[in-house]
Amino acid sequence: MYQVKSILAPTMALLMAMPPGYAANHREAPITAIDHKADITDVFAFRSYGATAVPSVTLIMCVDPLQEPANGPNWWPFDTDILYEIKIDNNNDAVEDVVFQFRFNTEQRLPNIAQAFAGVGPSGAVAPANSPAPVAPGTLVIPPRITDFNSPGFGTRQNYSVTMVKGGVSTPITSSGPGPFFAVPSNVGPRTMDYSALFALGTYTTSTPNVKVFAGTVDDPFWIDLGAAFDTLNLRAAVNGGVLTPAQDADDKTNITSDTVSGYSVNAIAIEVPVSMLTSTGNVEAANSTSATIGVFGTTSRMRVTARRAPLPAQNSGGFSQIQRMGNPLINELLIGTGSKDRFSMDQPKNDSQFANFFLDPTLARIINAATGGAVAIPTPPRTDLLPLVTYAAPIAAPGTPAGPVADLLRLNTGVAPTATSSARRLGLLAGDAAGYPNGRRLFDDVTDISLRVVVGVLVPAFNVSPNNLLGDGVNTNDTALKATFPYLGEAPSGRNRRHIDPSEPGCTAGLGPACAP
Amino acid sequence: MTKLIFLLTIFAGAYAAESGALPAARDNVRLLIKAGDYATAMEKAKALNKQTPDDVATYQILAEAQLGLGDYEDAEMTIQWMLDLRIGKADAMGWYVVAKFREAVGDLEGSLDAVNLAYGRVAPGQQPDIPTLLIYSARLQMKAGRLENAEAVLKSMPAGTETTEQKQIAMAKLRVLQQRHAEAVEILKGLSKTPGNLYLLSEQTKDAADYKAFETAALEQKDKWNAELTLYYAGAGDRAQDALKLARQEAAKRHDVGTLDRLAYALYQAGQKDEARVTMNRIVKLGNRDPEVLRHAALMGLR
Repeated sequence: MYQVKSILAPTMALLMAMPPGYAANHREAPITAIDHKADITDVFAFRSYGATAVPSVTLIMCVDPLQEPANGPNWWPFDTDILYEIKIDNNNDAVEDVVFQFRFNTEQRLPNIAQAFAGVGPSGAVAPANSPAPVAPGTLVIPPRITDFNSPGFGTRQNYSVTMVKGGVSTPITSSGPGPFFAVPSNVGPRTMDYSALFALGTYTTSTPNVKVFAGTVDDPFWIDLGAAFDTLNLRAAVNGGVLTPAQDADDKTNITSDTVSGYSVNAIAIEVPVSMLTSTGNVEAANSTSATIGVFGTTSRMRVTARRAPLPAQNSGGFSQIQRMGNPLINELLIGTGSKDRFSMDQPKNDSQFANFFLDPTLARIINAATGGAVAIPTPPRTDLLPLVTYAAPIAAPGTPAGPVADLLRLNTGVAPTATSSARRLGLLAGDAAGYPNGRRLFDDVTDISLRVVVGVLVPAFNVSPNNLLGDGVNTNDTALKATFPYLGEAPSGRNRRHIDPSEPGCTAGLGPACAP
Repeated sequence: MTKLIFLLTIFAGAYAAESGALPAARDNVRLLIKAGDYATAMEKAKALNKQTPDDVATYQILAEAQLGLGDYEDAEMTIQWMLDLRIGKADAMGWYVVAKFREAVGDLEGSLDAVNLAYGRVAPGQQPDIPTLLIYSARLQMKAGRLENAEAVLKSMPAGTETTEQKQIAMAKLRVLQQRHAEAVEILKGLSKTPGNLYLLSEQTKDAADYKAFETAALEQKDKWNAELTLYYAGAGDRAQDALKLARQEAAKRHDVGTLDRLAYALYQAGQKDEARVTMNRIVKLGNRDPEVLRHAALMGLR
């Protein structure tokens, strides 16, 4: 950590995080607004802060936003037609060098039952004495409560494969135990299933040393006052219309306004791998190494229809068409113009220079500047202060690291040791927490507040002043507790008991404490 | 502290202006394509594409311009973007452009597939309409040698379109392929006296007066009928040097299959056989299977 600080200290004064934004990337592009199964909501990459045998990185991609947990009878399976991938660039050219691919299969194990999951009690329920023929009394009608992936009431069961592609070689990652990987389903409710047990069973060690995987429906790990944000930034009076008090800003554990995403779930894929599997050198590099920083992005792809049919030689090779990608949160959502969002979603990070104008003169900054009558002053374009977000640059990458092309990648200095959760800060790098966003992204990093502040220039010392450095929505923490170890995600709310915490409702912070602001 | 409220009116105004301008700009490109000015159309379409890279209709007109110019590699990339943007959900115009591309590279079955997909997605009041697709489908069937299918398609055209000239032209071409020349001539004589129709007629009658009527009409409309004039001069007109001059003039503007074919043919007839073969090889490598092209290629010993 000392070494990390020595790298970051010179630039810490002008530090802060990154790209502007709001609701992570929930339905941000027209193409994913109509293809929500392929919609990437968030990508996370961070040095694992739970116990690991070797220094490791956890990579998470969430898809399919704002799932209502009660929405049976099919709930929210992964799409078997989609290729889900997490990609890592480790040589600064914005092209993936290591790829983790996830593909899903679906089994319908209870084709005659009207819902995907069913269960009650330890033994299920049998036909009573007055059961009409032909179902004889004593016949099992309702299966026992689901406690594992082989429970008879587990109707719609999804298994999945994981493949690592490195140097053009595909290597399957398989379970260390018998059988395939199973995806954790939606949390239907406590009578039907022991979701916690499934969550634990669905967290797999693998036959690849020190690699763990997880896929399933979890709590949506994003938090934001979404309604206020999209009501053209009509942030609430309790947070002074979007400017926190110093006390509000310092409290990482308390929400003043309601988390619109509370009570919703999302589908997540996660993998924990040794740092040495990701760096170009195959080693754990020190933070001041030019080989320490990687760039991460997630993609979803579907089989493409080609202009030229097979078997004629095709100029456009490859069987998949990318539907969406995501590196940093909120880039596409808040910076890219509506007329370019689909192209951005489908293009490759290495081609992002075509969108440079959106990065270097963000409309959002100008809007805030104009809407506040100049009270929030912003730097003059070109906004080179935002380059650390789209190139390999300090304070994330070590000095001397090739900057590479402008590209939306979530950059992580793998040499920076994780911050203990007790001292980690929601504002990440902006609060001096070197292991936080935009040095990678952890689940508890408040990317909304960070992004708001960065877009108005807090990376430039002259603009790192109030009100710029106090902008925020008043939602400072997630509604569900996060796990302390891989996969770190929170458990999905149950369909029966989920609660969406609304404005003015009591228990604004995870259902506890004072009411949310109206 | 003022609330962070967007100046919606300003932005709404800006977006409204943009939303009105884009369709008009696309229409302008379509007019250029219709007029055969593919180079200008392509430049304008590219500029539009850069401004609004998500607009699927702009990819369509850009691809049409590229196909018109003969920039098949670029067209393929453009079409692939268009398909990827609406994966499996291209509209009628989108599939129509796919069909044209596949036809150019010799995939007649794939082209017919695309036409069928376009047929199922025709929107009222928009191009391509049903008759356009049916005539195109018939033309592809003819190229594939399935004359019965072509006849069935033409006869299936909706009521009210039976007498359209395009259908009659297609039917005349079908009759030629069926060796029913007298019927073809009868149909062609009933058509309007455009240079194109006159050329088709003269090719069937082989009558010097008909050829003269065609040439006179064509020359009155400067450069508009250079394709037909080239074929006439290189063939029945026996004026190979004139044919070559016109063919080179057109090839300076575009290099699509038809233009290259006519250039190769004119070169061959003018005795410049090596250059003719080199030119024809460009089409052969593309994979095009147009019977007229194949006939010319065979003439040059390339098949």
